[in-house]
Amino acid sequence: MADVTQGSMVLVGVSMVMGIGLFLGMLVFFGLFVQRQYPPTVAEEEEEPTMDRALASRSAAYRQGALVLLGLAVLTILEYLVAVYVPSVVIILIINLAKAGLILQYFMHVSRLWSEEVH
Amino acid sequence: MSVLASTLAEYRYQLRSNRLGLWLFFISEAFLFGGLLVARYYLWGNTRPELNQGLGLAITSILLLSSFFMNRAETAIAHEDRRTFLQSLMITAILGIIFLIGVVGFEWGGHIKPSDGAFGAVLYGMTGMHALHVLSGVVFILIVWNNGRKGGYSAERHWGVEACAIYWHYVDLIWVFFYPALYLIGSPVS
Repeated sequence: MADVTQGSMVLVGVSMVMGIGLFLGMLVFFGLFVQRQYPPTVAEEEEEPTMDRALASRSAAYRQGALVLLGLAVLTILEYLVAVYVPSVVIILIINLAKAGLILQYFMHVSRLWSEEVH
Repeated sequence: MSVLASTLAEYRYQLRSNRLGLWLFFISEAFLFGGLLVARYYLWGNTRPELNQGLGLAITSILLLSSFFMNRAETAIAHEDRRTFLQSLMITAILGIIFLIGVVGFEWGGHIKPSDGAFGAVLYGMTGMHALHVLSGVVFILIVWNNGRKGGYSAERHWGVEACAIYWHYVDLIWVFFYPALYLIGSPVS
């Protein structure tokens, strides 16, 4: 009984660490490919009208939502395939944690709790 | 300090307090859902009832898709895109209702009844509690949609939309853990 409990604890610990790692990896991925917004240079500010920049910012925000959905869809399909072909609780838990991380970060904006961001 | 700056500072303070309050509510809810998950793993162990896998995957996809549209609605109002905001909110509500029909209409109409021991009790307890939150989320969305239709939100002030969106994503987040616990983990027992 003690072995089983100890084994489960190790399993949960390993899953959590790997899930957090996977989430951080996806965070870097999304950070590199989605949120690539640099402040405009003086030349750009002079050339580009403000309206265009607002539209570009809106499109980028919509694109980010679509990419997060894509990430969640891929992970859900992966989770299903793992359950069918390699029934491993550890891998399913890792995928769950990665999905939860994406939702918390990009949909629930958890970081706004400790930032001064208004809307 | 000018009146405008003072109002803005007050609004920011209020917004931070609102966010904190909402997240405290989520933490308290996490104990409820966490308790249900513990009950599932304790009572079912490495088994699970034979459930319709196609239905499980379909309703999970619908809920994820609804989260995307909710995020789209929030992004739209933050950019003063009112048409997309209202459209996306309505799509989210419709997807939420489809999810409810999938759970209550089809899953509950299956071969497992609430009186079927641990399988029935846990299945109905978990899906029922989650469905209740989806239902309240749909009502919340419809209220926000109605307020939005009347022009109640702006790009600068839309805490109601943000709260509704975060609540909806929270319901989705819970399902991320419920779906494998109910449908995927463990050996199916007829």
